Amino acid sequence: MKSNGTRLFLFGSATHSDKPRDVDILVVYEPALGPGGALGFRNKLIRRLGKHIAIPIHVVLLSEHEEQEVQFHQVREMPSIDTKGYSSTSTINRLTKKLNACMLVFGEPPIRKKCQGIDFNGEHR
Amino acid sequence: MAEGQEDKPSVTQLQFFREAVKNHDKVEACHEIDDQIYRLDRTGDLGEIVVYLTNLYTLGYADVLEIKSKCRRVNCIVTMSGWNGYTGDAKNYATENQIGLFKFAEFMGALNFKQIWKYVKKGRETARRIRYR
Repeated sequence: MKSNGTRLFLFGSATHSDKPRDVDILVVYEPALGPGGALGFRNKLIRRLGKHIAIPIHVVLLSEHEEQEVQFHQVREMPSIDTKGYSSTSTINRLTKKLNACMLVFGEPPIRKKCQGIDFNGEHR
Repeated sequence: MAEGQEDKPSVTQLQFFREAVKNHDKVEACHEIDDQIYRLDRTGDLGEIVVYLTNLYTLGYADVLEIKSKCRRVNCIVTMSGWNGYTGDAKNYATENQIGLFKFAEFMGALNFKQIWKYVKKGRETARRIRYR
């Protein structure tokens, strides 16, 4: 099976509300990272995001195999930026704002390398 | 769980859990070890269960691995919200390690079984597919 790399998706109220209750992120990790590496990555993600986001952060951590099983991101049409009632500019701005915070996480070369496959638009490369 | 990871059930969910297990026929006592861990003494030779309660949206294999490594006494993991779920890999890994992994409704049934990790609610696979599709 070809790996798509570790990918992140935003979902939940943070994708469509100006005052979200929390930030929900799905991390689909590639086999090369493994569950141990994925757990370390989640810790780092939460720690770094926590410096910039004052509301609770929930990170769902799934392997590619698990994500295929539950089809989490397909069901929720992640990043599920709801375009109804919003202009495309507004939609992109909201996503960009969130993702700018996310990008702070990838400062270290090993993590950056592991996360080259990140696709914030929820599309497979 | 991970530092800063918010997986604690709500106060209401915890109250609901305590009330439900105290009223279960097979539970003699419920001891709160910490916010998320409870020890349940069961009747007869059913034995005790140490339950970790979580509110993660979808429990994956890595989550079970983390809970198992941090809470070695835990032999049961229950995800509380009716909207929550877990993956097949998480369930398989938990079962292999004699840890029960359940949604709350399943857990109430599993309490009747000595080897709690072996309990599978009838129609569980079908239910999961329906929920996620």
